[in-house]
This record gives sequence, C-alpha cells and structure tokens, in this order.
Amino acid sequence: MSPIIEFRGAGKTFGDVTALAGVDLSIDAGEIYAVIGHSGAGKSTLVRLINALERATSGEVLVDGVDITKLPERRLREVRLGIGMVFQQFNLMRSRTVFGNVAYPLKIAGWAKADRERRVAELLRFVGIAEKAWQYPDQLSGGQKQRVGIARALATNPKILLADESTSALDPETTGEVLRLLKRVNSEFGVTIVVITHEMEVVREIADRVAVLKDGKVIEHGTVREVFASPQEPTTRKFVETVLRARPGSADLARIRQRHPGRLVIARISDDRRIGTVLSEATSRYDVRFEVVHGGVKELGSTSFGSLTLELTGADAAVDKLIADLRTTTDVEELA
Amino acid sequence: MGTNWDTLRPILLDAIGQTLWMVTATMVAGGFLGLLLGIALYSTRPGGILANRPVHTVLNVVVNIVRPIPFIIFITAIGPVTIAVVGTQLGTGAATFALIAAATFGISRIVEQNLVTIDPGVIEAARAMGASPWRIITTLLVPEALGPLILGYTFVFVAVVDMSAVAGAIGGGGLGDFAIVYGYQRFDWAVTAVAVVIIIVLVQVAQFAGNRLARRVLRR
Repeated sequence: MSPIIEFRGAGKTFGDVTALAGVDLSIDAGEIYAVIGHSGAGKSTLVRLINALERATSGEVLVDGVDITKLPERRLREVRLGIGMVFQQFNLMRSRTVFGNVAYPLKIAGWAKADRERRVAELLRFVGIAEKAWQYPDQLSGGQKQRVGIARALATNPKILLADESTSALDPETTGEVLRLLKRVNSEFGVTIVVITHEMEVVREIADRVAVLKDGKVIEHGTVREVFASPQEPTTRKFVETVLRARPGSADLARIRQRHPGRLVIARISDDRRIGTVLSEATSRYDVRFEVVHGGVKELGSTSFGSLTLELTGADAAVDKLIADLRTTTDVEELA
Repeated sequence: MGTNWDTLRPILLDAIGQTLWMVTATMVAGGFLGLLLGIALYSTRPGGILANRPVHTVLNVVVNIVRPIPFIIFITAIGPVTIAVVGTQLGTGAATFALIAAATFGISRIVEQNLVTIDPGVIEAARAMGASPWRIITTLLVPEALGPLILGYTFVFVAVVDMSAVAGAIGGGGLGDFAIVYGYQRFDWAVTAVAVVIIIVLVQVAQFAGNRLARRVLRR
C-alpha cells in the first residue's frame, strides 16, 4: 500500500526550542495511525505539520505525494479542504447552531446552499445527533460536541482525518462512543485517521499502527500488536503497562510483599505463550505452590495480551527449576 | 427671572437635533472605522491571523498617542485636519468630524479587547478547514464576539454623548452647549436640568436597547 502521509526527516523549531527533530514516518491510506507521547513530546506539533497549521522548519512532509512544506499559503488552503481535523476542546463556534457549525466548512469549500443542507443532514444522521441540528454548542454535552466536531471535520469528504486528543476531555464511556464512531469513519468511508493521544487505551481500542514520540523524536513504531507484545523502549513499556497493568507499581509491590513472602515473578501472557500447563505441574513435579498476586489480560484485535505476577513458594532450587520451565514458553522476570 | 420657554423651545429642539446627529454619525462612521482598526490591531498582533509586527507596532503607537488626549483639547488640536477634510473648523460638521476621529481610536481598543477573548482554538479550526484570513475576519471574528461587541458599543455610545457636549467649544451646538449657554451662564438651573434630563433619557434608552440586543445575541 502506498503512503498517503510521509514525514522525511521533518523537524520543527520555535525560536531556540526544538519541538520535533528528524521525524521519519509513513502512514498508509486507509489505516488508523496513532501517535502517543506525554505532554510536551511534540505530538500536537507533529499532527499540525500534516495540514501545515505549523510549517516544518526542516525536512519534508508529503501529503498525497506532494511536499506541502514548500506550498504557498493559498495552495495550502486547497490541501486543507481534503484534511479534516478534530480537537480536544471541540473548537465549535458558539455563535452558530450545530447545523451552522457543520455547514461552515462547506461554505468555505463553495458548496451551493441546497447541497450544503443535504450534506449536513446526512452527516448529523451519521454521527447520531440529527435532532440537535438547531441547538447551540453550549446546550450540548461533551460527547455531543465532539460528534459535531467529527461531522464538521468530515463535511467536505476528506481523505484524511486528524484527531488531536479528541477524547481527552471526555469521560471513559463517552470516549468509547467517540472511538467507535471514528472507527466507523475509517471502515465505512476509508478515511485515513491520525490519532494523537497520551492514552495507550485509545491506541489499543482503535489503532492499526502506533508511533511513540519522546522529546520531539519517534523512539519506536510498529503495529499495535508488535508494540504491545514487545515494547522496546522504557517509555513505550510504561505506556503499555498503563493498559496491561503488567508490573505492580512500587506501592502495589510493597503491599503484595507484606502478604506474600515467597519469590515474585512476572510472566507475560499471550495466545501463543501458555503458562497454564507448566503451572499445573508446579506442585506435583516441583512441590512449589503458586499464587496469582497481580496482573491483567486484555483483548487486542482478536488476540489476548497481558501478564501475571506470581508468588512462588517452595525450596529455592525447586523454584529455580520451575522458573526455567516457564521461560521455555514465555518471558519471565523475577522481581528482586 | 422666569424662564421663557417659548423662545427657548426651538433652540432646545435644534440642540437635541444637533446632538442626535453628532452622536448618530459618530456611532455609524466611527463605529465602522473603529471596527476596522480594531480588527487590524487584533489580526496583526504576534501569532494573529495576519501577524505583522511592524504594522501592529505602528497602529498600536498611533492609537496610544491619540486616545489619552482629552477631547476638549483634541477637538481643537485636530483643527488643521478638520479644515482640510470638512472645509471649516467651526460648526456641527467640524465637531462631528472630530468626534468620529476620536471615537475611531477609542472604539478600536474596545473591539480589539473583545476579539482577544475569542478562543484561539476556534480560529485554528477555521484555518484547518481552509478558511482564508479574510473569511475568518468576516464570518468568524465578528459573529463570535458579537454579544460583547454590542455591550462595548453601548458603552461607547455613552462616552460619545459625553464627548458631544464639548462640541460647543468649536460652535458645534448640541445639548451640552445649550446647557452651558442658556443654563449655566444665565444662572438658570431649570434649563440646565432640562438638558441633563434629556441626556439621561437618551443614555438610558441606548443602554436599555444595547443590553437587550446583547442578551438576545448571547441567548441569555
């Protein structure tokens, strides 16, 4: 598949401050690509390079094969008509109704009145707020506002949708609804979506691929499965652990230790890494008892991922043997 | 000494007409020019949609020079310009010109202050949709800030009525001049009181209308 968005050594500096440096990424048409990072990592700047709300100060940014860093402002406006954007704070116009907000980009694109009306009605039905057409943003809940934001971003049939922390201002339930809506946008219209987030849960729910941004650099990228299965960088591992609760935090660990004096190990779980067989033989073969003291397993696409922290009680040599046995099927880490 | 209302009435009516004319012309012309100047101040500021530091600095300095001049001095100091534009520096027309000039600068700051309160995110959203700066100015800035702008203009209306009372200094007439010439200078408090009451009514009506309009626009 050909990339619809491509960063080639793209960088951005604001005065002396380097927001992004040497970013190389390629995003394929039709995929949902997530960019995750802590605040200040440069995510918002990165996404704004795609529609040139911020211009790259070095390197190239190709959208549909065109290097937009070289385009004059007038040409950029045409490019932007083909790229929708959804914001964390929704950024709706308070002086216009829901209908007026969604119709606004169509006016900019020069659509005739009748076409605008038909298109807005269609969009509001798609996002499920047709009955709110004549209300003002102030009268809507956060989730409803973001639906308006998504309808507005889709108005001109863009090929690309940029979602900048689009669920960060929403509660968990509404977040789920908005993410499902974005997924429908992707599957029904084939819109390429770039999701900016600081929540690994969002990445797990909707993304195909993910890039991890730290201090303005891409430190890791790959399919969501790869990254969840074997995160390489410490930052990535921490993000993955926010979803999988793979490793007990220091407070958790202190509490666990109080009640569980045995040796503690963390074993990674996935569909092809089964520890049940080994553990079921722990008592009979090694005279080692085990207790599950921490951990979790999550669905990711069609497979399961997770890790369990186990307390192993028995003779030291026997426990060593059991750990060695476990290591033949999966990664095991002993907690000191 | 009784007040001879039969002779004063036509003079009073003239004065009311002059005040209404001066205030209306100032609100329309000064209001429009002030809106343009205010938008220019706002748009050219650093980070604005037409960010341009030299232009912004020049506009800022000019506004800051003109605005603090007391109107009684401004109306006379602008004399040469008034002559060049109106043809005379005396009379209602000359006073109206000075009023429009002063109001333009005053209003520009009020417009700028109200535009600053617009959420920059909304402007960014419009840019992301491919809106040109001109379109953002005409279809986004003014509608989004309309409620506060109406209240700002209502405030300016009262200030313009206040300034118009000085018009007498260059023979511009109006209610202020009437109160001073026929009231204060003749020790006739009744005449002064009548002029004051008319001004109060004028201001009250304007404030009431402004508040109502703003509330409708703000839907509160």
